[in-house]
Amino acid sequence: MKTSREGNGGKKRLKLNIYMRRKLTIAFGVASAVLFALALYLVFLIRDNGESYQKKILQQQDYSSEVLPFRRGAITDRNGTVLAYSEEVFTLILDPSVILYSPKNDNAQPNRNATVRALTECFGFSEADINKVLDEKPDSQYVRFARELSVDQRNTFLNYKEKYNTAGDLQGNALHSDKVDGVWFETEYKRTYPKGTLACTVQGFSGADASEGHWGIEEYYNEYLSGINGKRYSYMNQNGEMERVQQSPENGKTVVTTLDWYIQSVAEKKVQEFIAANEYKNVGVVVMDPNTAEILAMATDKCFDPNEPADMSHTYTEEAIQAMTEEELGEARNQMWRNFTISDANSPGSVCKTFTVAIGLEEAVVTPESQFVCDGGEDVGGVHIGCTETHGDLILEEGLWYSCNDVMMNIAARLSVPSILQYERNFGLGSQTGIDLPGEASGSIFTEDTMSAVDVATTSFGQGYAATMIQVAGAYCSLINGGYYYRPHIVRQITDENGGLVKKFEPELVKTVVTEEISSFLRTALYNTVESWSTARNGRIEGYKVGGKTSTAQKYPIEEERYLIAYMAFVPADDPQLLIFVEVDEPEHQGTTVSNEGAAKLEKAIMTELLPYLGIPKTGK
Amino acid sequence: MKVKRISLQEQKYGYDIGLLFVTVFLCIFGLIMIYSASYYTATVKGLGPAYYLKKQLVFTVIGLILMLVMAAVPYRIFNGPLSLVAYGVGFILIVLTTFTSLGHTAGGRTRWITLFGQTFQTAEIVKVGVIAVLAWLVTRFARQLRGHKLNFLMLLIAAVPALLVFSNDLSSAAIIAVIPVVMIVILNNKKSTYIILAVLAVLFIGLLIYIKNMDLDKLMQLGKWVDEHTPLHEYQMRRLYVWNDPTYDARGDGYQVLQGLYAIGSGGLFGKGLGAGTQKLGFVPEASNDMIFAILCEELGLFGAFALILLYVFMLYRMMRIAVQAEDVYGALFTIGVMTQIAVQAFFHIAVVTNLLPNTGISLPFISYGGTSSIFLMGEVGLVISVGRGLREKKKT
Repeated sequence: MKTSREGNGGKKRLKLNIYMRRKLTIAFGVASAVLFALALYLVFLIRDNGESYQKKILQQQDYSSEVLPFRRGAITDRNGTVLAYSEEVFTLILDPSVILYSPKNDNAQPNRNATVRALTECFGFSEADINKVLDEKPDSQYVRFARELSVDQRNTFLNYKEKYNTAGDLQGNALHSDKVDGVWFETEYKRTYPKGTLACTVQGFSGADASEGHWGIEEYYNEYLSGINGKRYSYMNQNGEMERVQQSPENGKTVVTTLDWYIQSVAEKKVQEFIAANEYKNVGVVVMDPNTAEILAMATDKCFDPNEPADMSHTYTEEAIQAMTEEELGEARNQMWRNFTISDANSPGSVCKTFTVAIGLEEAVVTPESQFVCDGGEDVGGVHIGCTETHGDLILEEGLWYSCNDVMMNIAARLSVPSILQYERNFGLGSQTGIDLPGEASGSIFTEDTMSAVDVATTSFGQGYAATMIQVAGAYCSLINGGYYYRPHIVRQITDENGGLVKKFEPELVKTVVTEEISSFLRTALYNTVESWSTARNGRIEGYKVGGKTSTAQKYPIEEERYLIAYMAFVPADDPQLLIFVEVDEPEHQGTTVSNEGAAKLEKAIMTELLPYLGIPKTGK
Repeated sequence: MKVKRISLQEQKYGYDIGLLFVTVFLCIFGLIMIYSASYYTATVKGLGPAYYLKKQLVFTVIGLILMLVMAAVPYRIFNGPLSLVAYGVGFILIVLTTFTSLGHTAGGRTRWITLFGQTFQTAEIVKVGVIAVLAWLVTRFARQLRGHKLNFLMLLIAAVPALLVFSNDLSSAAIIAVIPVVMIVILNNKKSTYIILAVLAVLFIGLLIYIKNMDLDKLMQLGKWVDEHTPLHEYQMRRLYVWNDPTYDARGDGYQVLQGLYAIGSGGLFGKGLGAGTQKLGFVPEASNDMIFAILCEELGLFGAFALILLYVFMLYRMMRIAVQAEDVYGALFTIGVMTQIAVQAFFHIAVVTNLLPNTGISLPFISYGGTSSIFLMGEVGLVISVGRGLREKKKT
């Protein structure tokens, strides 16, 4: 029986009997249990997958939003000539999952052929290459297929696609059902250095990541050159309306350097001519405005194209590159990228005799009229330190003309160790000058505790301590410009994209190192040095008043017979407008006979070309 | 077991306030979820954010009125040829939907019929018809037809419309088929019936577990075989592939299931907050309908899911009480039928969204967007309340 009557002989009304009620209760219990089991399953589902699913969701949303890259700021020379800028280019993205989409899931891929054809026709890609990507990554949604396409190339494709996809007859019926689809473009900026290798070691380079600069100005001023990426996305506001939000990218700022591209190119050209004819290890040239310590040019023999920073062919021969191990290649690249003029410290040699004379005058232990006798050397602390020859009777100035070690040792002997070191520090030696470039070496000078009498003697003629080119050049600027030590610097100002001034870097006066009177004496003395029959005469330029000083420094250890030659020059000698400092590290030489002629000739070649360009007055003989 | 009598207050009003309350509560909860889940889609379609909310509000009001009317009407008027009429109307509609141009197709499934400018989801009407006619059948023929004959007749009555909706609406077919089974389980006292049902159930669940754990490649081979050797098509098998491994076609077949899972998984314990979910923003298809539970989980978390399940259990509990105390078998069976429908449908919806069952596209009772479903469900609840009142009327006399 399926039902029971209620009561005997009552109404013939069927009701559920007790067993049915029990079963109903059990059924309810089972149903409730099943529903709670579902809830329990949810607990495990969320516990085990919650995080990864949340990530998936965020990925999807990222995919639906678009990054608008910033444009890295430009680098210009002092007159606005562009040395580096970022060009708008496009990356072509293939979306195989869209290209191969099969609406009926029947392996028919209606859009494949049309899309492949469009790509080959618009860009000249090989059909095989495209098909390879499509076959190998059919489920991928993002394959970078081509990079650095120009605006024109992109537009050609977009026009083709638009035309193809909307092609219809006069009645508006589509001519074909297949479409060009699954090809996207991403805007990118390509760092471009229009002047190629020019000022490469000064500028550094920036690669694929526009927010990073490597070496040089690109690295030091990265904070200004970098911008902030923008974003474009859609979202629902509180009223449920779709809102498209575009956060525009904040482009990088333009860095206006103190460089003059013409001066830079002359310096580089002359260096290249020099290294083509001479053996050397390093060659460096620093061209400065002595009145502000602004860098007009900085050239080294190392050369690379910042557009292709890894390409070593500008500095090394094919055979040399082939012969290098992986490790050597890395080291060679670093050598190629680094800036010799600020990163390498050497004994500067005789150019720094000027420092000794300046200190002597400033400390009043000598006067311009002081008399000296060079007897071919000096015994210091039991060591005989020789001069190049026996110069005999000399006045102070002649000590510079003939680059007499004996005179310098004599002056130094009258000075106290602390005062020598204090002046050296004032000249910017022994610590970084603070030039606005990365990788500056600090060089090394003695300390009050370590400086012996011999050290005092050698220091007086530029031996025994180490200084970078920028340290020596910076100090020289101050000695000839009236005594004002400005911090060497290479950037004048930061502007926004439209040229509006963001920040200006005024020449920073660090210290007054000597009096104008002493400065004036040094200018005249160095002019006379060039006019004398010393080796400095190699820097003479007809019609111009050139002041200058040579160097031939011994590198340590002495017995290795490695040398460094240098030439420091400025013009016009009575009102310096231009300072050029040249160092040739480890030039070719025979035994102990080293000529510093090479450095002087290189300097002269550069200066000669710059004089008319800068309109330096012809005040000389 | 003595039938527990009811409190005085309930007797006075005669309506099951608990059932009434939980129904209205679920409907309002549904309206909130529908707004949250649909405002984006509605706006994108240019309909205004509250478009689906407003439409559902109208359905809910109609359903509420119908529920109250049904609750007021003595349910016994359906215990007769009217049940047969309801079944007949449902049957005719399903035939018209499936075989004539009146059928309306959406999302590749012909589930709706367009009459008088309105579309109705036919299966919802059929469900009520089947429940009513089965209840009447038992009342009418219990004495004449003994044993398996009545069981067989009940199964047949349900099987015919179930088969008709099968191809377009698998889950509705399953619900329609389960209703007589539950009734038989409760009415029957033959051991053989239970053994047969238990064996079938074990076999069926075993098959499901086997398919779920099968190697996808093997399953796909099976799918090809089925496509070639049976009237079934491969596209119908594909939902099994997705069920087996939702990532197998993440952009195509598996998309809906995967996106739903992402939504559920990312909700955590308390969810992202009502309205704060992101998966409804164009990622989860059918967010306000077949997938609304996923949105609920994303926004209200496990907490919300538990609360909803508790509400369903409470509703089933109230209905069970009414069925147990029902004045006659018709009222009891009708109530059992409605219970079965709600329980199975809620289970299916949640199981589908969590990928415990293959994706069949089924709405969540009282919560999902849909006019026919809401109105008819509320009407059924009204009738159940009426069954509950019948008991008390007798007490007064």
